[in-house]
Amino acid sequence: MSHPRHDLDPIVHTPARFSILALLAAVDRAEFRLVRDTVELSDSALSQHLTTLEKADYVTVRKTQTGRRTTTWIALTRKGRTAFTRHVEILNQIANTDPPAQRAG
Amino acid sequence: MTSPEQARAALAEARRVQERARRSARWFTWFLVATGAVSIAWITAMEAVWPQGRLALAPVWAALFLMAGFWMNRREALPLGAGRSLMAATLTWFALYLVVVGPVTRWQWGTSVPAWTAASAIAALPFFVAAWMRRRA
Repeated sequence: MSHPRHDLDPIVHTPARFSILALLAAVDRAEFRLVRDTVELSDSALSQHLTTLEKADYVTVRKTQTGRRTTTWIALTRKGRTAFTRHVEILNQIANTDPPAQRAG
Repeated sequence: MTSPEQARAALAEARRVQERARRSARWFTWFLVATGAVSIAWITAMEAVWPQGRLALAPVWAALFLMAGFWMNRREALPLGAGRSLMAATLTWFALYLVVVGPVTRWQWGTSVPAWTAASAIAALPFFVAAWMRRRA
């Protein structure tokens, strides 16, 4: 039987991207600055991760204009939500696995 | 390589960011309550206090909706199912006012302020119920 870690999604597995998806899974949509500040990333690092997630069709990025201010909204897609949920399931499986018993010397 | 400890740490981090996101989206519950309260004031004003000014008050209501939309767009996060929740509450409120509460109150009590306050409070129940359901979730 293979270890559940082999089923982890490599796109989601990166800690920053996992945190981004975790945040987005809790809301309908979140503003760029909230994600940046909560996940503790720079603007450029967050943009790079978002590009990767957007290419995988896991998130959508939408800019809206309110008066003079441009707001960037980030939302999870259905595919992204499924991938994140699956990833969390596997992490839960791993977290509940006991480490292999050490052989007595 | 992902060890059980690393998996637990990742799950704990997910809980932390999700709690932060949910905190940022809590405004929506109070937004629903405020919408319900404003709708009570608006219906009472339009039906009992100044019934001849209905046409003048309609653009005020439209402007309020527009401002609420702008304000919502300035929040950091929109909670899960917020759009659906607001739409369902608004449609139910409108149907109650237009079909049930409005005609009955107009027919039975005319322009009585207490009657319209009570009637508009009943019509606004969908907003308060939606807020209560969000608070419980």
